[in-house]
Amino acid sequence: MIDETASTTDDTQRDASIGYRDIIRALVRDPLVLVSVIFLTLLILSAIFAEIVAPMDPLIPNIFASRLPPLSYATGLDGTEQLHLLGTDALGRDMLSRLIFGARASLFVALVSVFVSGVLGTCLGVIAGYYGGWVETVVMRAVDAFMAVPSLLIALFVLFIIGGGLVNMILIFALVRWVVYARLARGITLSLRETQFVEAARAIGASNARIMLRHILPNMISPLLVLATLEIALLVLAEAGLSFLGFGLVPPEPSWGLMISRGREYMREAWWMITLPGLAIFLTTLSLNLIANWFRAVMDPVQRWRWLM
Amino acid sequence: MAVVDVKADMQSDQPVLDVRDLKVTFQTPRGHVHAVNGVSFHVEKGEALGILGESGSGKSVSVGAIMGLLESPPARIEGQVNYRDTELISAPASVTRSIHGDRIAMIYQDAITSLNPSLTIGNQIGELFKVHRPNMGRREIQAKSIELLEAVGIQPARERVNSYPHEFSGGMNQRIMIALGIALSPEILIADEPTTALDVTVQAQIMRLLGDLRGQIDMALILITHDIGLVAENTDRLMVMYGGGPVETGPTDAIIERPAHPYTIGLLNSIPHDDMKGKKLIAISGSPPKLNEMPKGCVFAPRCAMAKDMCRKEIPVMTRIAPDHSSACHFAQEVVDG
Repeated sequence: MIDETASTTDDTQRDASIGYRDIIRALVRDPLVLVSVIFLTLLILSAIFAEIVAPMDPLIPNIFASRLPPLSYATGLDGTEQLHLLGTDALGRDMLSRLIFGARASLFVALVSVFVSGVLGTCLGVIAGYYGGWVETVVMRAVDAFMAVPSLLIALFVLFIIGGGLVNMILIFALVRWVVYARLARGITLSLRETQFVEAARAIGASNARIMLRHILPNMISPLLVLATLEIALLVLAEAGLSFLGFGLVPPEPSWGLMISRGREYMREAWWMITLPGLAIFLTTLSLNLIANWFRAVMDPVQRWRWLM
Repeated sequence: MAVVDVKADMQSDQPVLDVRDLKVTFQTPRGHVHAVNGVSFHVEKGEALGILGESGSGKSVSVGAIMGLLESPPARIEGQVNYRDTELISAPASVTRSIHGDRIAMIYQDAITSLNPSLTIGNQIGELFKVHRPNMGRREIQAKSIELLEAVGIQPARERVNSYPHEFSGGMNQRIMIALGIALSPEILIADEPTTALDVTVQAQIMRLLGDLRGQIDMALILITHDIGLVAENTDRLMVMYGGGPVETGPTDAIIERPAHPYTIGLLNSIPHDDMKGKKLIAISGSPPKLNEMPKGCVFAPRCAMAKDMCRKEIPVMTRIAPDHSSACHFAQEVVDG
């Protein structure tokens, strides 16, 4: 182990601090990730500025232009000729506009829930793993309880009682998904707290809080990040699923899940109505996964140089 | 504490660290394991004490107890560890935290695993100041970290301060550990096998560096090792441990010239010399006792060439054979006289 590290040492002086320039250079050398980053950036920007970007109002129907295939023209309600780049749905609403507004709902729900559940789960997991004893018992039994029931089922049940909507969905997702982070964080903490550098930190008089925050947490960022990206993908799907079943966002609010649910009825005659929102979900999750993988490598000080060289 | 109060007005004579009758027992499902059985020693200001013993002799556990690194349960710690006027074992965590790392520092055997892989070394050195000197500003901490790296011979310190542990060699990492150890000019530095994982040449460099730095800040050193050559060159006094307790204590020179315990003699005999070419190296037969199945009398009796009936029945006590030299052998005097 020591010989290995010795050989990588002196030959080149590697500057450990990385700037924007290094990251951009590394991105350009990895076209797949670059495309993912561009796609997600555009998606997020258009979700934020949906009112400006979207060509039409996503909520106003136009019965005379229903189920138009992509790239067709139709006379709008104001009498002018309009291009429906990605076609229209059963009520004649513009697909592109609905996808853009749907991105806002899907991404917002997924990102906020992942953030809330990630922070909650990681904190509880680290504390459980670090202190052990009854704290661990309480937290981990709660985790087991949540794991024993499919989380979508709990979400379904609670949303049925308290009703759907954006805020309720976020709260429910945070409530059912924190357990996966808690499990991961506890497992890593268990192994890290026995390491010599944690013992060394204790020997310099570091407090428990400092050890958890400064020594244990940074060492689990990579796996947590990967888990979080996978969870975003999962929650985009869950949001879609719940909305599809009618427990999530309420129509006519645009959401990818709702669009698939409506498009299902016209699968034979209007393929774009179900394919396009499906594609949106697929591309978003795929980009997230690719970026997660790349980000993990760049975040890891041991692997970083391969990517930045 | 009363004893300490009386001593308080003679500060200069008082040892910086005084360990009395330290006992560490681990409670395991298979019964109690006595890892340390009544260890007593003291360290004077600026002196170098060697603790010599093989694996399982209790040397690292003793240090763990001093540094408050043992989790309890399963460990049960008895006895006293006095740092000046503070008894560390019964003191609350807030008190021991302010002493550990600041006044008593420690460096480990395997430097690369003792450094956090995901923080730069500048970060890790800076942490010591953040914990113990909360008033120091960021700039000051950065400057001090660079200064420390220069002191332990890492060049160019200004750039290397932003490197991660894996970017250094084993010897370099041990230097960084030493920088961490001496950062706050502690009074006592505990070095737990600091050179075991290193090449002999690097080992010599590291020990020389430790010696130099020690001279500069008048720091006491507790050197824990199984390498008798290392303690011979680098310590003033020596405690030889076996089976969880001390078997011989005294000035290093005296012990090496006139060993008073058969175990010490065995250790000395197992070092190869030039004039032994062609001869067989004498090893101590057998292996150390299991800590949950201690022999009844002297712990070393089963492996001792000189053992008599008495040794298997009675536990020997530390007997003085010279003013500062004691041995836990029933026949210490005979052993010295050869």
